[in-house]
Amino acid sequence: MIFSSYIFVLAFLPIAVLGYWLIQRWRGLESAMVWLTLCSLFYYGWWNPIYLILICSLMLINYGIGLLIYQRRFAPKLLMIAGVTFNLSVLGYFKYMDFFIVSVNGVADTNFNLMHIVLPLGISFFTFQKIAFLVDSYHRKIEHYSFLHYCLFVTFFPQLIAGPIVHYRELMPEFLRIRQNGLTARHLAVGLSIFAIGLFKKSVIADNVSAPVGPVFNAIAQGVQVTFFEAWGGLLAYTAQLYFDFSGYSDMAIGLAMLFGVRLPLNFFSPYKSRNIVDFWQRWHITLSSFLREYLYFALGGNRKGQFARYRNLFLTMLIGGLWHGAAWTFVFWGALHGAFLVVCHGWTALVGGYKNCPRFGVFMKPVAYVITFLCIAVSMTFFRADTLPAAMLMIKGLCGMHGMFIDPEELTFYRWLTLFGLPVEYSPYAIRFVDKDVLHHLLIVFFIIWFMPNNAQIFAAEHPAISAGDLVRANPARRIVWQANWRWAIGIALMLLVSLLNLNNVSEFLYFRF
Amino acid sequence: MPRYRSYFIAVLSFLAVFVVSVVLMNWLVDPLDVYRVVRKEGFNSIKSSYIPYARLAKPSQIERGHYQRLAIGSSRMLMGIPVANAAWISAGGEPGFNASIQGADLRQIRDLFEHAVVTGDLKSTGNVKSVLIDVDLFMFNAWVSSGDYPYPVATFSETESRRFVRERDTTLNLLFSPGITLASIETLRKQDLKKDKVMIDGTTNPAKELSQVLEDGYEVRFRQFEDRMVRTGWSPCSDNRYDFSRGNADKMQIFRDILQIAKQHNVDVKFFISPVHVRLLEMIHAADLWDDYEAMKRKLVAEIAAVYGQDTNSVALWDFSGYHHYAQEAVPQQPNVPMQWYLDSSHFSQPLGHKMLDRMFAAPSAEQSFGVSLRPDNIDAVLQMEREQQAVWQADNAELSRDLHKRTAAILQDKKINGTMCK
Repeated sequence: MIFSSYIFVLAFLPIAVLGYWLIQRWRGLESAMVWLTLCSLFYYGWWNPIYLILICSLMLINYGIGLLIYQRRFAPKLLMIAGVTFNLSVLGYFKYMDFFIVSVNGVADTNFNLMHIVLPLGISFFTFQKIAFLVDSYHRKIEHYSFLHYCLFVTFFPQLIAGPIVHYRELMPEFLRIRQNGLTARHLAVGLSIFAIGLFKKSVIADNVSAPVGPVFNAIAQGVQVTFFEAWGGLLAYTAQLYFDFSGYSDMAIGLAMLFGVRLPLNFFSPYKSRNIVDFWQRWHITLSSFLREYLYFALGGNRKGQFARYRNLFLTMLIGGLWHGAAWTFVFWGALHGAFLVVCHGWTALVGGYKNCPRFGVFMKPVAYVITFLCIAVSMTFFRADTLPAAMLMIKGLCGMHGMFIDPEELTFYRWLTLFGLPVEYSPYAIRFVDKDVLHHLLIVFFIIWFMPNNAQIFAAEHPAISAGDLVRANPARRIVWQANWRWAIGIALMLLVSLLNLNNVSEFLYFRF
Repeated sequence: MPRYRSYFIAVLSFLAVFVVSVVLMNWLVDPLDVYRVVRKEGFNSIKSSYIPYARLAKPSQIERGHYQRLAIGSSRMLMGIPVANAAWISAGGEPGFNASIQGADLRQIRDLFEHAVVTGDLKSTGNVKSVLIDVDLFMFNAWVSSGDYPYPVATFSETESRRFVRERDTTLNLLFSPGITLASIETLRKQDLKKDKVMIDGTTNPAKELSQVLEDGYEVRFRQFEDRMVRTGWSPCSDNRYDFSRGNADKMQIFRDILQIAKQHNVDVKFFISPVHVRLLEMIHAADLWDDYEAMKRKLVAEIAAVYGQDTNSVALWDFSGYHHYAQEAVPQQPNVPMQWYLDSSHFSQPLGHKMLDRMFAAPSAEQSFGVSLRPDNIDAVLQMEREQQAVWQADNAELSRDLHKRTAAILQDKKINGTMCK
């Protein structure tokens, strides 16, 4: 039951919200939280009831360990390390066992059988949340301890499957705030509007812009040499698809939580508008970046032991971050690539001091920085999406024009325009094997939205719908498009919901579910 | 906070109104001609957006139509076989419907046939009586992949709950999907006779296609079609060019399934191999596919005999291919010069379709020398005769034959260079 499905939008969500509001009004917040926990468990069990056993067992074990750490009765540090190791072992077993066996078989020329373990939904996300909970317990960052609250913290369905990665110390105060301020129509109005925009991004934009992605990446997986425009068409379509998929999901999560009177942390803030790769990681999957920084980079030593150690730690953090996304060498390579980007970016800043120190240089360099950053992100996506490293390399060759630059014989104007720049373009009917001519027009529209439209955090800035969005929003305020509870917005949001509901007939899974 | 409350109620109210409006519009405009509530000239009588959604429309039309006769095949059948043929009506009864879809593969034909029989059984009016199925060489190539029918269709193994899901999904697709909503809007916008592509019996209206072909000139159209066909459907490699079965894919098994369904449910089936133009036959020869073409015919005859034995009343395989005078019709080199029997080297005109139907359903006026019912006792002779006719045609048209061979080879070679993988 994904967010962009009829069963979720038309049945589960209305029942969950209505029940929560009624119970909160008649029986109080604690009872409403019990209802919400049960709804969340039902939501998780809908996918495969057997995995309820896993999530509940992990919940019990982690709560027990956390409580013992919190009470300081027995070697809290040891308990914390044991708890973290246990969680990582569970994640390792479910997510990385087959990858490990394949790698061992490849290196040692052995023939161990694969275990074909089904990856439980959202395990990467809730494992990190539990680890954060144990570490926070050890550092005494958790004030209230309640089993019900803990269960809701782990299972709260808007963030259960694909984040954001929430901390107990962030989420629980949000619920407790309801006790003081109550639930109001503002929560429903803002929550529904943000959810509607997120649903539109996912079901209308992401699912429709993805048309050439499958054909191009399937072709390279089979060893087909994709040409220049095919490669760029497929890659840009994928970068746009992933953007709107993740952005849509993040908006939906924030909107859903808001319907229950709760704010989630901001997870996505126009990452393709980043001026450098450091900026990118402060905008893309923000809660994962924070987690990796707080619990991995700092644990490795951060920047305390000099520049070299800093770069090494950065690189290792990104390498592990890549592996977190998926059990494949392509993800490891993607992580390594981003680690290298970060090292280069920090090195450059240390060396030159950034273009801010040199305003004249900055006038020229600023747009170049945006373009270079986007290209780095886009090209690295090849490794994020390709099935294997050889397939990714085939794509890179295509992107470089090493498999020719062919254009559809009907695109005469485009052909003349390209030849003006001296590009070695040729006519061939193979130019449109995998990438339809309309893709270019679709990409122009979606990249206009990506680069020139404000995001939801900016549009809804006055309503403060997300935690820790303040600095980013203050630095990048929306100028023209600002949400208000008026008729125009009501019609616009209703239209968006209508078009999204129509498009749910043609749904695909959220890309981040598989991580 | 009344402002937020009013806003929230307004969003839900507008949404409800929009949803009801879309469903009503799709039901009344009926761009796929399924519900047939209103059919008003200038409003929705011309179904200008039907063709891209034919695969969604045809199963619903079959299910709602109580048809006695069905034509199931690819675009050749869709454009060339007129359902209103007197001989076929007299043999199969009324009403009839052309359930063919563009680019249909054998699996989709089987699925539609099964759907027609299953939904016919569910209706009080009973089953379809006479079915016409168009088969060709490429439908039996296991290297051309085919999947399940892309929209919900009825199957023999369908349970009550699956039927409910199928009917629910179909209704949802027809009344509340983005494509059909856009199709409704397009239908309302394009009530122009020039956009009249689909006839009420499911056949494609050839008028628009013909005017376009005339404008382009037949030579241009023939070449475009032939080049595209070789480029998109034919393999340049000998090791993955043609096989009847490969791995789990067994195309003859699908054909057997069709025969079994027809036999078990007493449906008269006539298969036919189309009267493609000699230019296409020559390109098949040039691509080294002629032996496979003959093998296909032999196998079909053997499969029919295995299932039906001597019973030739309920099933027949008609072969209209070959080097007869229709297939040898000269292709005009200039625009605006009409052809009588063809639209391109594969698609024939409805007058030729009438002649085929007359022959298959034994109309008194039928031309006896056109088409032959293939049987185990005549297959060798028919194939031998075709080979002899081919040799005569090649001798008489040496230059054209050379050109066709050269073009086929060039396209296949180009395809090989540009990345089509051999096994």
